[in-house]
Amino acid sequence: MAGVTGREPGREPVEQYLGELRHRLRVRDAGLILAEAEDHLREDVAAGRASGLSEREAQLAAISSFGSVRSVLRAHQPRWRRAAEWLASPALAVPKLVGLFLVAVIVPGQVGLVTVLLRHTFVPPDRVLVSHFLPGLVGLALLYGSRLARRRRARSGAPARVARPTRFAAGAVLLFGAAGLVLVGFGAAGAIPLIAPTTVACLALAAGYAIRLGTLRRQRRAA
Amino acid sequence: MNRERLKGHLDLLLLSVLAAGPAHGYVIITKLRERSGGAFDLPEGTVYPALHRLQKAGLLDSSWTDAEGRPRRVYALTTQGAAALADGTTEWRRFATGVQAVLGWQA
Repeated sequence: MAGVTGREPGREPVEQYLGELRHRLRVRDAGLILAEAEDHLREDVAAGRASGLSEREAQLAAISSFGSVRSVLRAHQPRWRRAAEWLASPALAVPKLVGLFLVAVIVPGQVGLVTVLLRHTFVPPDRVLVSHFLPGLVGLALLYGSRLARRRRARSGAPARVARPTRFAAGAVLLFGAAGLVLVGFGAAGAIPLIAPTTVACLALAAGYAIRLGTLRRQRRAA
Repeated sequence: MNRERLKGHLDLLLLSVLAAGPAHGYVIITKLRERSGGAFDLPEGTVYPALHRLQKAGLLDSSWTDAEGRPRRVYALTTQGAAALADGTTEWRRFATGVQAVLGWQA
């Protein structure tokens, strides 16, 4: 059914659509938004019935014109909220974590380097440029890539993949280790003092993702 | 028509539809589609946030009425909205005339 992700026998399509919207719409004035959506859908159903469609056909046509639950949710959510939800979601957690780790560790070092460059107008050796910028760029690429992958999957209508928490934890530890080695190997000296606090913050985030992954897997099994 | 391009002009189009008088969301969206000859075909549910944004900006006002037992929100243009519509229309005409002149010259 257009716009509704799951079918519940015995419930009319519009009711089912509004139920899903009610469940997922977490904004201020959600009640008023839902009342307005229901009025729109019922009016469109009445217009469809007047043009000769059956009740069910008219309801499905109204939902299709109104847009998928996802597109309506996106339109109502502020940009920062969408970014926060993406970050909190455990989907593609490993690349997100490593990307955040690299960006958080490297950015202060980059700021320091740029300040020095502006003050003294000299061109540093390539090795310094690589050590300060490359890990940060890799981090940004990982974050951007995981965002693109998430969007593509959501557009295709497929549910997000839920990794096993144990596999995720092992992957996170391996990738953190690799990221740490890369940083030390490149000699990102300006960034090294920040590695410890950033690692602790990222490990806490990783624990949060692992707990959510476990909960999601249990919910899917129960469904 | 490209949806992103349409979104850039949606506020002005909504103000223009409401210049004819107060209306609720379904009527506004239907008129928008009819007046554009079907060219402006956004998912209808995504137009409401634009109406809410215009109301927050003080360009629209809204009130709730009862329609066959259902609550219905009716939008109306404010004085500030009418002024924004006049400014936006002038600016758009100037822009469209300029684009048309360039395209006409190229042809």
